[in-house]
Amino acid sequence: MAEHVILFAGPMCAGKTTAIRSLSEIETISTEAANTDRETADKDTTTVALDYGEITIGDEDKVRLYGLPGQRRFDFMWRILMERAVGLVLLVNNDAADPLGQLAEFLEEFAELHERGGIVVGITRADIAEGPSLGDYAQTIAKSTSGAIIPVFTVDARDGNHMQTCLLSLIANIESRAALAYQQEQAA
Amino acid sequence: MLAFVKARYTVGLIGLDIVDRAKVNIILEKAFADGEASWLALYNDSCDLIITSGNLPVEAMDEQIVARIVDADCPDDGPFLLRRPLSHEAIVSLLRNAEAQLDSSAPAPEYGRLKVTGVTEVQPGEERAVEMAEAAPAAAPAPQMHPQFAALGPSYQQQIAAQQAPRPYPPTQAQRGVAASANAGSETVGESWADISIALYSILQTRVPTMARINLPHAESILIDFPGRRFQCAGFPDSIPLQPHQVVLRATLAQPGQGLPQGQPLERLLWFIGTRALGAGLAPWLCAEDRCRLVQWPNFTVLDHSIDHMRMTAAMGNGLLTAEELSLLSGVPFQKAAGILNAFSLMGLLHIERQPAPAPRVPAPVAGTGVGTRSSGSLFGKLIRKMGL
Ligand SMILES: Nc1nc2c(ncn2[C@@H]2O[C@H](COP(=O)(O)OP(=O)(O)O)[C@@H](O)[C@H]2O)c(=O)[nH]1
Ligand SMILES: [Mg+2]
Repeated sequence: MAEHVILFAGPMCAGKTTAIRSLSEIETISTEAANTDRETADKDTTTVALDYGEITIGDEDKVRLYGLPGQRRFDFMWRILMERAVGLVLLVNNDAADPLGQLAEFLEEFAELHERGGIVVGITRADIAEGPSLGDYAQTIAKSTSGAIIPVFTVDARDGNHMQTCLLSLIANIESRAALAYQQEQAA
Repeated sequence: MLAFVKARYTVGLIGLDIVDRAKVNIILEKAFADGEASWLALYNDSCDLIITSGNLPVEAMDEQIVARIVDADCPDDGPFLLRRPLSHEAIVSLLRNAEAQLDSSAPAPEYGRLKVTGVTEVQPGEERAVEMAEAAPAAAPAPQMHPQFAALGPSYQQQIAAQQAPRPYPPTQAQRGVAASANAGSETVGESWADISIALYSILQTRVPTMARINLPHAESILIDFPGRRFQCAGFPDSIPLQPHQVVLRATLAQPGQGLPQGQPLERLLWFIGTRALGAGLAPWLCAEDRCRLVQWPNFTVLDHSIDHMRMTAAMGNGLLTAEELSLLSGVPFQKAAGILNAFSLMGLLHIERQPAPAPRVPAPVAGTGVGTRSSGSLFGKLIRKMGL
């Protein structure tokens, strides 16, 4: 069975756990812990290890969805999963302290993945907080990735359709890149 | 005042101080009302005739005429020079000279079924500015910016400045003539969405802070707040006819505090017009040979989109493609590829390389090799089947 690993990353409170719940067919596994990092986010629990969910397609393919902990002290896990991942759903909450700065930091952290064409950005909680515009986010992306065209949407992590749009555009982008590379190879 | 006469040519007032501009405007309006000249006055540089002040560098296309306003003692001479103090006769004579040259160099721009029926209204305060300047000619230098714009705050001022920035790519003469007709203070009457879309495109490109109303027979009006990027329309999109026999777009300069307090994102309307209302082909300002690339993904979570749209968007983000190549690569009918390019260009999401284009960046696509069309290998194809899309 082919496995496709998709990662979900972003600041604390960005909606990673919720997004995986919205997409997964199985009961998601979450390892939330009481949040002691009160200054970073006003939330009782936070993901300290991994969220996990999956989508199975026939008996051929399994899409594994992993939510990465928001706190930097767990960085080592990012690296392990990143090597296996085909793509990343990067969620940034519009009400974060410095959403553009956070976005730039995460993009830098996951530079390898965007070089493979494998990132989509979802801006969450735009319904409750007036933050930067989508154009501002797109500009930050262009600046941090030397002009790459990464899909960026406003999303509600609780909305399954929104998360499907994220996931599908991520896959479409990766496959479109591969298809064009293949054609260029054929032409050469 | 609006006069319902068809304007033949457009005149752009660029970089004039408030006094000169007000005078020219008043004279143009009077000449228009008296039937002496039928020119549409605009504040952008994509017009047949540009009137600017003596020392200002203006980049013009070959077929554009540049007239300069100079002081009485300037030694220069020529058919397109205006001396201060500006007179009615001098301006009408300038227009005559310009008409003669434009008529001889090319046929008058063909507007298709588009009728331009307005002239720029004299803004409140402009007449007073003339009176004041004439009463005290040695007064401090007149401000460069219209006080109405100055009051709108820095983002509006940037928009005004952006008007004078170079175009992303040069429109053809006919397109320029048509596009120029759509700015603030004008009314555009068309017989299809294609007619009206040119006006919308022009407003979006020039970024003049504009409020607009689109009236359709037997349908709800559409109110558009361009600076706020919002629109209002009851029952949208079902209430909007795709083939109206008349569409009227009326545009006015946005006044402070006039923006729509709420509404839907403007991109939703532009997406609808581009993908559905424009009909079978490319929008009038796009050419079949134009190579296009996406500069930003559309916000699909607020747009009514299909899997084909997503697939085409991914292709556009990774290659520089013509409409035909996009259609081949994505395995969708040409009409659908044209529709998405129309929408993206209205939404300002496209980088366009106009012919003569460099060698294609992407090898000629093999039909049906794009995303999700390769039956077995594609995760995208499998996921959309799985998700029942
Ligand atoms: N209003 C609103 N709430 C959201 C949105 N996305 C996520 N949430 C909520 O934000 C909170 C944090 O989400 P969570 O998934 O725990 O974030 P995580 O720390 O990234 O795992 C939860 O209460 C979610 O229901 C959104 O777009 N709008
Ligand atoms: Mg969590």
